[in-house]
Amino acid sequence: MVITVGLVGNPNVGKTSLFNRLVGARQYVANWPGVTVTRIEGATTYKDQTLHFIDLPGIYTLSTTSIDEKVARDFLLYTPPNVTVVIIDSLSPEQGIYLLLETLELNLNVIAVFNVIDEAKKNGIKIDKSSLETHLRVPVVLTSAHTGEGIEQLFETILATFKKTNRAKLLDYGPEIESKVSELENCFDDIYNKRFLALKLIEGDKFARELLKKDVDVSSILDGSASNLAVKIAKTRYDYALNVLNSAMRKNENVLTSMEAIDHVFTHKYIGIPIFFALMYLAFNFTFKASEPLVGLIEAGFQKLTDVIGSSTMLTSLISQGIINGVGSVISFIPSIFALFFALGIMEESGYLPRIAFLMDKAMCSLKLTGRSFMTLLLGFGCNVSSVMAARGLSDERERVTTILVSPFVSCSARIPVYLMIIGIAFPNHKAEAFFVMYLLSIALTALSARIINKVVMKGESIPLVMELPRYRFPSLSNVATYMWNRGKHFLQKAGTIILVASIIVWGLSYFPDPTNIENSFAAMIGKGLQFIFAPLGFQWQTVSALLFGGAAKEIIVSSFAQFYGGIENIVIDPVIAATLMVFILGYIPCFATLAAIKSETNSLKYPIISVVYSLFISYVLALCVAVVGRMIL
Amino acid sequence: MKLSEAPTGVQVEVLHIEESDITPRLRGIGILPGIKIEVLKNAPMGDPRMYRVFSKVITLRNSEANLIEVQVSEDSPLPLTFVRPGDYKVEYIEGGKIARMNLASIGIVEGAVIRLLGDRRVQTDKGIYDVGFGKLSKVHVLPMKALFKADNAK
Amino acid sequence: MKSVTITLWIMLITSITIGIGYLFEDDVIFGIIIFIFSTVFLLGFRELGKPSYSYRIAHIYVGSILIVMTAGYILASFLFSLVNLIIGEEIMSLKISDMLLLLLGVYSSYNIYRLRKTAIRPEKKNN
Repeated sequence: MVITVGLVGNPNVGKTSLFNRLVGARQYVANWPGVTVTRIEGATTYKDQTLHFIDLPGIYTLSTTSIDEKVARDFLLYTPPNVTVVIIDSLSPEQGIYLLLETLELNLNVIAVFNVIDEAKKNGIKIDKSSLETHLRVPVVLTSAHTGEGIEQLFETILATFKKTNRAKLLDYGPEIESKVSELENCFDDIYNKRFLALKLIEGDKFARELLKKDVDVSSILDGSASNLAVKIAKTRYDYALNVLNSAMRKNENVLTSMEAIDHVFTHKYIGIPIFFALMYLAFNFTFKASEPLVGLIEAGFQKLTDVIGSSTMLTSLISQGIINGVGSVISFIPSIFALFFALGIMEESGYLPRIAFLMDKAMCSLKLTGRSFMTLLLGFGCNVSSVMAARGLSDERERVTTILVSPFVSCSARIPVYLMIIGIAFPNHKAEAFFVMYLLSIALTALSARIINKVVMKGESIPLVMELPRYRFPSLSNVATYMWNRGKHFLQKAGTIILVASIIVWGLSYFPDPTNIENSFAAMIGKGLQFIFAPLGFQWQTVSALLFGGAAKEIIVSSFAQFYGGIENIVIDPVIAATLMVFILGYIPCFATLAAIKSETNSLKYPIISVVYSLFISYVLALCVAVVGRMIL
Repeated sequence: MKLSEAPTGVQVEVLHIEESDITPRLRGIGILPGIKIEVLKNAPMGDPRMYRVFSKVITLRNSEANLIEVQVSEDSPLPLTFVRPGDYKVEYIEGGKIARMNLASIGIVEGAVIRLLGDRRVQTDKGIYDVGFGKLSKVHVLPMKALFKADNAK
Repeated sequence: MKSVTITLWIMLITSITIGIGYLFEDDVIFGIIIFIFSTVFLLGFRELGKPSYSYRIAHIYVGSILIVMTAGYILASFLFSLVNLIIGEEIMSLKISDMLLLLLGVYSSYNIYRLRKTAIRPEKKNN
């Protein structure tokens, strides 16, 4: 027997951490709203019962304005789970109870969970469980995903609720609304939950209108008063919620004092933005200083290994040059990548990121992007694929497509080794600065592209921003480690698959037909054949071939360079060409995985093609500017 | 008054919300007629702004906040520049020593009762003065009527 | 109130000194970063009027957090550079400004601890 359990709740109430607790998963829990855009599933067994948990996106209401809300609503409406757990933030329960009351209208087996009870206790909030149970007429469990309190009890309650057959009584909205509801109920087919749909129809949800019986006209029932009634419905729910809380909860006024203190400075009128840039710079500097010794250690290890194996025969050459040198040159940058994500993880964990969105919103707004899409783009620093996918959470179609199209310009982790390699060779004395500039440039290019795409491809007006600012919390080491691992493991997986294969292909192309001289290899022929295109930028054939292979995945550039020159330490690039090359690599083409994601998310071939053509064009132009200006200065 | 025009630090009560695509979400968050909202602070360029609804802190752009019609709660002190002519009690003065000294010299101190005249001049115990806009915005006051009510309630 | 102002002064002056120190040690950008963080203390003095007391505390609190992070960064870089001993390269040498920053970091963490205990906690606002 499988019991399905749906987890519903406001954004950022700790649904995902509770989910991790329940099924022992390792989903990363971000301290900003909108992390879960699709549903995440996981199973566990408790007392010989299989419990199948579904973590739904965070929502405020079951009326739908964006795709993540639709995912949650459709799931509850069309495939109702055996038990629905509504998770409520103990520190700000009003909105959670509103959602609970809405969920109850779906006539499901509901359990109300008051989460983060540990923090609530610390803040002097007292919650009377039995009083809540009497008023809400559903089982109530107090939990903390952080300490594990109440989890056992939640399992028990799920089993008990699952067996129960009598459903909770619903709210009464008063004679005026109730009469309209019963009239409207007749306009829906029996297969749906009629009361829920009737209420949603009054609330003005377009989706409910589509589910009406074919030849029914509701305009006579829903005359001009609908918006008034909608307010009345919401008001009834909130009044009920406030009444319940009044009797069941002793609350300390203004629990957010310490948050206010921190926010006062972090979102300060004058120094908020400088602090942000200073912290970003520290994060990048940390990436270098902390990882440099480890990178050196790994590089030295691989170097020893290649020397031992040698490259006299074809087989040893394949192993030492193709595999160890090719893949090893990429792997040795792993400490840097993990260090960067460690630093970014702390920022995200602490709840600082949404404040940046708040600070930068005005600037983003002039680019016709919201703070919300800014945060989506920040995901792209890990991998562009994830930011393309996360764009689903954006409610506005135009904004969603723009975000998807500009995502490839966000400098993803795959580009880190490439920059690190080039910077290490050409700018040994200004590593962090050069790296920081590349990231700034990446952000500028993203912004510029958003502007261009908005002007040329799509036209429309600005999009609303309704965002909740989460509480600050002290970043826990295990959470930061999970974040670091989830972002970085992708890189390791790629090293074992696509980069390994590509390295072997690159080795083959540079080994044959003349193993003694790489200048006569196939790779050199290809590179020299195409060199004329890049002549204005001053690239040599090695660079051209590496760029060509790197189209599949950016790390392959590093592995190709390492093989063409027989090791990273043998490469020589002068600073101007290095800068040109980095600027070109920043944008030149989205990797295969990103292109595939763009295609599946936009459901058309048009956008991947636009993306390739546009990015090649703009990065060539930018690189040319850098080359010309660079030569004038030096 | 629109929510976007309410000064920071005051508590406002929602009167009416203009219907739009995001109204269901605003309702879900708890922005409804009769609900009290606290205006917390502005972003660097004055947009978006932070508000507190129940215990959640949310941000709204001014373009959305414009949809929400509010009135300032009676028990929330307002800067003198925001109020209608009438009798007020000075709740607190937001300013340094010099500003306080200057204001004190014309009879505006914390706890004093003053009258704002129709031509925006201020009548205190010491006479009638023409006070600059900058200084007026530092003086936060409560209307005498509200205080009277509050006393009666006790 | 007085102790708050004194702490602000101490933090401001020491952090600016350390920033100047970094400028002299040719670490210009890092010096600028320290200056940015010291403006947090500087702007603490601008908080006047009624809620000034709590806002000044906020400036000390957040400024201290930033200093602790910077010091932690120096410490972490130093610890990681110990790995260099394995491959026989030099470890990072701590300069005078680094030492001072670490000391200030210790003092800042004491500040944070103290403020968490006393000033910054869920308390009723008095307006």
